[in-house]
Amino acid sequence: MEQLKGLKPTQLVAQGFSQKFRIDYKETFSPVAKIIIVCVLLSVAVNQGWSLYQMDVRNAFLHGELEEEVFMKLPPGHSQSHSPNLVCKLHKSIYGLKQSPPAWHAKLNVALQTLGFTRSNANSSLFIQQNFTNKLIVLVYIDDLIITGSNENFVAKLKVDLQ
Amino acid sequence: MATSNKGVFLNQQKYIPDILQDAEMLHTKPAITPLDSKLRLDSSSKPPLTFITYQRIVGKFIYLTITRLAITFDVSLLSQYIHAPTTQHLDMMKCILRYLKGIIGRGIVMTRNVYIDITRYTDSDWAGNALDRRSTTGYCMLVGGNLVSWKSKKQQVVTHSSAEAEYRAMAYASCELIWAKNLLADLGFVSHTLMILFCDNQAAMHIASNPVFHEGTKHLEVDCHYIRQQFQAKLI
Repeated sequence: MEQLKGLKPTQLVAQGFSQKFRIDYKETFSPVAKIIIVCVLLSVAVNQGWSLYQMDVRNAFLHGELEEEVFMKLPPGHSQSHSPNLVCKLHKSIYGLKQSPPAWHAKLNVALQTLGFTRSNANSSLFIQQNFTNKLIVLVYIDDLIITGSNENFVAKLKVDLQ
Repeated sequence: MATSNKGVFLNQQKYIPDILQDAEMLHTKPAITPLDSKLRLDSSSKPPLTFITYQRIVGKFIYLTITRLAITFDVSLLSQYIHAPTTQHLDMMKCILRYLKGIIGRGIVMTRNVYIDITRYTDSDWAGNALDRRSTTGYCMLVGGNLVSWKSKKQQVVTHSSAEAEYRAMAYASCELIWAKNLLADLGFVSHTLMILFCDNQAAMHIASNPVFHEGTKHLEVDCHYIRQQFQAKLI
């Protein structure tokens, strides 16, 4: 009953079940890391004495850019939600849309690549930045990231850059 | 997950009591082993009245194998009957739960060994499954001296000899070895040392190292395919 006292966190969620495949969306998945890669990365980090960081991206799906045009009925509570002919066009992905996961991953992919990361051939959820002396590794599990690297300062800088 | 200066410790300490609670076996007596090694599956045992709990708990077991590899074989055995368990499978599930009760605090330790190379152990039984006589492969892989991957899997086909069963296990293993080598290379650790693949069958090792033997094994495989084809075409 305690929950009722304070305001509950609320979020606008789209009704993704009304979307049609190939018309409103194409892909619906976002890469996840295999457990074996997590273990290999842990083993490598421990052996090299690197420190490990875990990051969770808040409201990850709200960052994605939409490729398709998506229109949505006005949410209840909006000042004009009673007029039946009005719809709104979405600029960014929101929770509930079918294409939110790939949209988010594409955004993260671009963000990491502009920071100089390359995607691993062995697994598409693994990103590596390498120069002569330092190495930075990011493992992506939808909106959870594991970050490790040979240089503490670079890891700290990356955490700031990603924000 | 806990870290210390010696390494990383992974476990699912909280998850096991959750499963025990779900199965209403929180106060059960712990067992030393998950299943009896001489266990024989009995095809005549009756289906239980309800098996929703069984399906849910086996699902939880699968998640638990991320850190508890001791139950990998048993869980793979139970999940083969997830659609139609019998009372015997329910008893087996209770045995595993009792075993889990005794190992709540255990997990996987990753220690600092300063070298990064790949070692792999494979094994296979021969026609171990009494119902369909297929063999079961087991393997575990170590990267940098730490355990990273393991599995127990029933082979797809019936094998004629233990050497063939082991050889199949080795073939499966080498695929993942190559993948792991590429992964490490991507991470910037190009290793020039050989990857080590352990196997406990002399014949299978000879087949792997000596190309002359290949005719014999190919023959076996062709044999098996041929017979199956004939069977499917309803000729036999």
